[in-house]
Amino acid sequence: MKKADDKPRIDRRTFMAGGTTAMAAIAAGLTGAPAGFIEDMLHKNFRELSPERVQNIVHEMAQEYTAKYGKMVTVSAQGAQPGVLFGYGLDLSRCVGCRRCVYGCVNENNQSRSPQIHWIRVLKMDKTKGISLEESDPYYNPETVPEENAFYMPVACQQCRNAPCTKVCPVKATWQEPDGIVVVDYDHCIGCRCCMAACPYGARHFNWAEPELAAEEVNPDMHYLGNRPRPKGVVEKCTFCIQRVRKGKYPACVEICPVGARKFGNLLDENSEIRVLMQEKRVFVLKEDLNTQPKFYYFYAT
Amino acid sequence: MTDLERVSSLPQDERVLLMPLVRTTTTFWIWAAIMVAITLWGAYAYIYQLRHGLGSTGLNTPEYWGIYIICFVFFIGISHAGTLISAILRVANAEWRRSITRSAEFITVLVIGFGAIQPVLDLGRPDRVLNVLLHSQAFSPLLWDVLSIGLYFTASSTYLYIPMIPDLARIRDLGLHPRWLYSFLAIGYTDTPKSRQTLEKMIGILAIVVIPIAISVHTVIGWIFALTLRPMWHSAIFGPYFVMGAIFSGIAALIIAMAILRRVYNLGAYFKDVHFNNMGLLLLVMSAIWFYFTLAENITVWYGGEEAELATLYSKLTGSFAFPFWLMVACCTIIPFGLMCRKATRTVSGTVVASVAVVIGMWLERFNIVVPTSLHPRVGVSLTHYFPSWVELSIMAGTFSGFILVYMIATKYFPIISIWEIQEGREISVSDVSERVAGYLPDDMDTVKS
Repeated sequence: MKKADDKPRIDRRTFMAGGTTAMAAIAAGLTGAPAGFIEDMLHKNFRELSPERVQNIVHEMAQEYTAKYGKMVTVSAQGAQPGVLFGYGLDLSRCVGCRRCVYGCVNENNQSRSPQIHWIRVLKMDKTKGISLEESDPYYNPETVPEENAFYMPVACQQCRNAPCTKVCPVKATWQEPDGIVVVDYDHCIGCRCCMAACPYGARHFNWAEPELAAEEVNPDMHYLGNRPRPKGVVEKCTFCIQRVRKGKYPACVEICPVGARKFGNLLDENSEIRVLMQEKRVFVLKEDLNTQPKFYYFYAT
Repeated sequence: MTDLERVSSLPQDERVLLMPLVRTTTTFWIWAAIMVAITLWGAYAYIYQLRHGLGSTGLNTPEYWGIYIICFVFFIGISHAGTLISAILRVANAEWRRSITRSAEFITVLVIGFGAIQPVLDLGRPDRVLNVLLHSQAFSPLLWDVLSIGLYFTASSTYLYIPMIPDLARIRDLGLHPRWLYSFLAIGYTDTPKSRQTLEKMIGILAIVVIPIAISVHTVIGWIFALTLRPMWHSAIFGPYFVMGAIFSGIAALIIAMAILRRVYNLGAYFKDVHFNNMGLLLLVMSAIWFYFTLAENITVWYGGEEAELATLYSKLTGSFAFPFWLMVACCTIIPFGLMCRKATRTVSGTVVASVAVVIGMWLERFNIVVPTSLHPRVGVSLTHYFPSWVELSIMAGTFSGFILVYMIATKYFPIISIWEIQEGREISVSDVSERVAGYLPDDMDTVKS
């Protein structure tokens, strides 16, 4: 005789998952979505997965992308190191507005080339007016930079300690990692864009269409929470190049900056460049009055 | 005996009010066919959007939210027609409510689904929508919305259904088709004084319970905007402003529905001029309150003079959104106030003109809340403009026609005016009201012990 415990039980989660599967089947039929769609949908949140499951998933992802792009792709799920809190410094007196960081970021982080998504926006400002974010021009396009009477302020995710974007997410698809990086799980985001409405810096970007990314331009060194290719309909953002910084490298924008305007380091390490900078320079953060507490510091070296 | 013959031989109230259930005109079928066609077209547009992504809409960065979110707020606003207005009139013992509560409650229950579906249409990944339940994050205003709309739908369906039971039992007893439906829905009710008393007690409790629920729904919708730090959204007035706007547009929608029902089902004897006059007075009051709220919202922004907020405000007052803004002011205040403040224009046609203006104006109000703020980010000027694409407009038309269609169908299965409440009114309301009024009069000094 069977024990009562052997009976198949349907708890709430299983039941909902069943409903999800049925809906997924319908949606897949309607949209002609690829196979694997249902598995996609039942993906747990990244943070709920066991380490073994994460390893399996990133392994499968690496295989999928390797096949898709015809080059050896690795997908990491490396976690935060203890004792690390990343911070960023930007020297406004050095920035010349060349936008090399913008495109360096696009190449490093596999952003969609069409429609174009830029995680960094460089704002041109009038020297006589000082910092006036509302009037700043992100679309400047002169023959040469820097222009007379202009200065430039690159803005990307400010990696707020008190992030307005993460708390509005209805599905826990975005959160702050222990090393302070605000990340998005692209396999979990429902694309409601509440986080974009909540972000006062315009730092989040939405995939309005299937992102286009040519195989020869793919950066094969990927991270699950970072630069792996995104599907359409989800939100993405700067992760301080999570795939690089967790391996001890600088973010791509820091490396590419021709004038050395960009600084990066561990805020918990007293001897790091970023800490020295905060001691020595007069730093400020954007929209301090909104109490978002960014870990992205602007300063004037001269 | 056919259903039609059965109903034709009944006394006036039942004959007139049950006639739509048993006789369907060609005009009805033509309109139903048109509505089905538009709804299917909207469904096609949605499938197109699913295939091509949200890029097939007019949305773009930083214009994240558009028609769908506007329609979300709009339809949920319309849904306040029923439950809230009917509940307030019931609680206030307004005797003239008797013929209008049912049609109002039907609007609520039927439109709420079309409102609730809008944020799903807006999702980048609608296939993952169940994540909202599977992995909900209690701190997200969007989750509060899901919960409060769910609760509101449940409460308002109950509040529609319970007062309909005596009518359903009557239809069951008459043996109208489909019999299984009416005998199922009537849940074995027999109209005895005792069961009537229980029923009225339940209605009394429900009428009180649905009021805070209805208020919570639109408050939370306002908070989706107000809890962000964006210019002109981050405002304490948004909760009450949204609730008040919802009631305003709800009254207007109800007036339009009543006028159409009166015409197509010959209900002039039930939706009388006095009903339109009274609803017109409610509209008048609400348009004055709307003006006050709008003034309060804008003047605090203007006087505070914060840079991003001012940019948004001036884009509405004099900039690229001046047309929708001032059209909204005309539709929500000048037209309804001008027409409703005079008794001569508080007629059926006068209230309908005012109501159409209010419905358009309240749609524009949501446009003026969502779009100008989106296009005025706190960082960087925006060169984008927002023009809804054919996909968004088709889906919007499809949701309007879908709602009209289900409302039309509802009038074919359920009496759109409460028969038993009308009869009860004929029997007791005159004596009830005289007694009530007598109770207001001063007592005789001699009988009062000091």
